[in-house]
Amino acid sequence: MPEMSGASFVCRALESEGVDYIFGYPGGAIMPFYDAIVGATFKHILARHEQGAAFAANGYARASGRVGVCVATSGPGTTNLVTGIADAFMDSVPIVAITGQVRSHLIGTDAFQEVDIFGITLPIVKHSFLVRNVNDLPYVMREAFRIARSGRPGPVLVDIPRDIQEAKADLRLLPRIHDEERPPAPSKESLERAAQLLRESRKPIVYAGGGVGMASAIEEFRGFIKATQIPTVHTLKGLGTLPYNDPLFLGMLGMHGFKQSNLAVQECDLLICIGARFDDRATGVLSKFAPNAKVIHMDVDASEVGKLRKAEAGIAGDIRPALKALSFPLPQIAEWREACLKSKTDYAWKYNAPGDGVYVPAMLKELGDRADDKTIITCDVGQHQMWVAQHYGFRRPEHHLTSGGSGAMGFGLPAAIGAALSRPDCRVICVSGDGSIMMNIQEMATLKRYNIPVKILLVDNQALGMVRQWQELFFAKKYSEIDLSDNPDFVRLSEAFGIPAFFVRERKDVPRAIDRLLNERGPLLAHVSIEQAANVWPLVPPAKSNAEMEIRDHNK
Amino acid sequence: MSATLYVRLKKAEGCLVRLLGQIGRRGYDVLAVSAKLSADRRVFEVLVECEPFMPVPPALQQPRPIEVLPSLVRKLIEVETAELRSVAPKGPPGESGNGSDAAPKPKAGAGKAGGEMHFLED
Repeated sequence: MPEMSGASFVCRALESEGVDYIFGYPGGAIMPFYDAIVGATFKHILARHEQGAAFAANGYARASGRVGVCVATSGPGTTNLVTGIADAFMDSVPIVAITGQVRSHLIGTDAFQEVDIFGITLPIVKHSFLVRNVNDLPYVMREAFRIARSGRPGPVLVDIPRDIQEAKADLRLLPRIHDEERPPAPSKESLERAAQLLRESRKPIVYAGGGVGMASAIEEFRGFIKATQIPTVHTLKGLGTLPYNDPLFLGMLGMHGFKQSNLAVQECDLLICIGARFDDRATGVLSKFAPNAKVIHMDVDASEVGKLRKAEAGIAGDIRPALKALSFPLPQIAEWREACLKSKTDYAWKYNAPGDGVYVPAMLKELGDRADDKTIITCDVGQHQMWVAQHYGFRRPEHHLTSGGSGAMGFGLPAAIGAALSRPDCRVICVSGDGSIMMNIQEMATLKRYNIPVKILLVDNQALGMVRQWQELFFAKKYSEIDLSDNPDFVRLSEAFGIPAFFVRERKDVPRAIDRLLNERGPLLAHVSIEQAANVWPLVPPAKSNAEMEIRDHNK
Repeated sequence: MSATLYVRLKKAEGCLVRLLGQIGRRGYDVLAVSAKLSADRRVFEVLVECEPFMPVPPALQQPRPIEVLPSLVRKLIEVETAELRSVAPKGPPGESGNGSDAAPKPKAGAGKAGGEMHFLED
């Protein structure tokens, strides 16, 4: 192979990894790379802000299971990636972030647009490389992709000084390490212990998180539930692991979880935690969470087992063989199961809110009922995010793209762009709020430029709704900096970007709006006006157990 | 309760900072560190004395279990080996002892209060 530049080699490495889209924004220190991508087999999507590029790569990876790639220049370009990298770390999303760096001899001199992005991102990456020698690039590029997608996935940063991008060398691709690598099988002893706990239990509950889908263990998980008939609750990121309409799915647990889910967890005698991590939004006060339960904890990441809650049986490693090994009938739990299912019926949503205004839970339920199995929903963060989780009804976890761990407003729109490009077979709808959409509104220009058929369902209460809700409930209605009544006219704003839009004010207009979202081609924005006072229920107040949830809504 | 963690760490960009961050940011207070680079400059042998933070208020939850620490550290790509070498009841930093003859001995001062760091290079 003739000599090539480091930048050209990075392009060849991306091609060899099968990358079809990358998301980025050029600048001085990354210019050799941008010179090299002309003619590459992958397509570059020009975001309008590096954070948009990072979230788009994130959405691409979440929707497809493949590694997402984002690119930025040094200094502010890299720091603008940071929120997207942190989000990928918190939610275990495989992305590779390629950043330009100032020339090697300038590192540490406070050179123009020099930032120690390697140091800044150390706590929020699975791994990172600062390339000091062009001959390291073959190893670095191969390892970056392998590390990002293996085991518990996560973000990998590759910081490449400009002179390394320009340097020429005899660079050869190393053989690709294929995705077939699996985590180690769980130990026989841990499985035997778990089986014993299952046989002894009278009131078990499965508490499943996003780790099941990321381990490609959906079928094994569903087989496990089918065999054992254990009632099941999901975390925010686990939604869809069991289809929402499976009789054994009780609902989401946690701060805005379903009443029957939280009550069942509080009463269970065995909690089977699978691919979840006892996150505080799921558990409430940890010491009061499932207080009478023994715990089986399965996770690919051994450091999660026992991190926050002692496990009587810890199963670290590949959860697929563990689920298969534990798939046996449990006839002794029939009475408990019936009680859980009755509770599910007793506390079912009613969707009978009075008035003519748009009632978001009912609107999202109708959207979920009418959307087909190939619809991906991305969310931003806030009240609308919780309403989506509660009411949409997911069939697969990769159809629900939400910033769970980091809770990053501004995630939804760029993530939808990435999802739409990685899954052209799917319809993608971004449900956003008037606070969140403004955090990355510039990506409307990206939608228009590439005519990406993302639909935006913008729920507008002219406030930072979740903060407003907490100020109402826990800060004596002393509202502070939550008013957004001077929002722009979102219909005209969308049209200014060249994207058609329409306004929805009344409940009777919702069916027609959903028709348009589901059936029109190209990007489209529906601006839905709702009451500012609308709140998300149930709610577990701070410092309370999940059994102490509050419900002040006609819906339950 | 404090513990001494022994880590073999491939020498790579930022590896020591990454290791200490993984311990210090994840619920464990670093009390003392010693690190020695191998003669071939390929790996560090690191001893970290640390103890779990006590949450405030302590009644709400327990401090992080020390047993989780090795698996937390093994997640780092550069880590070749991580094991607890000694666990001792809470006492003055540096007095937790080291029950293993196999562990490299930290040089004088590595266990003093205040968490001094000593990077020892052959």
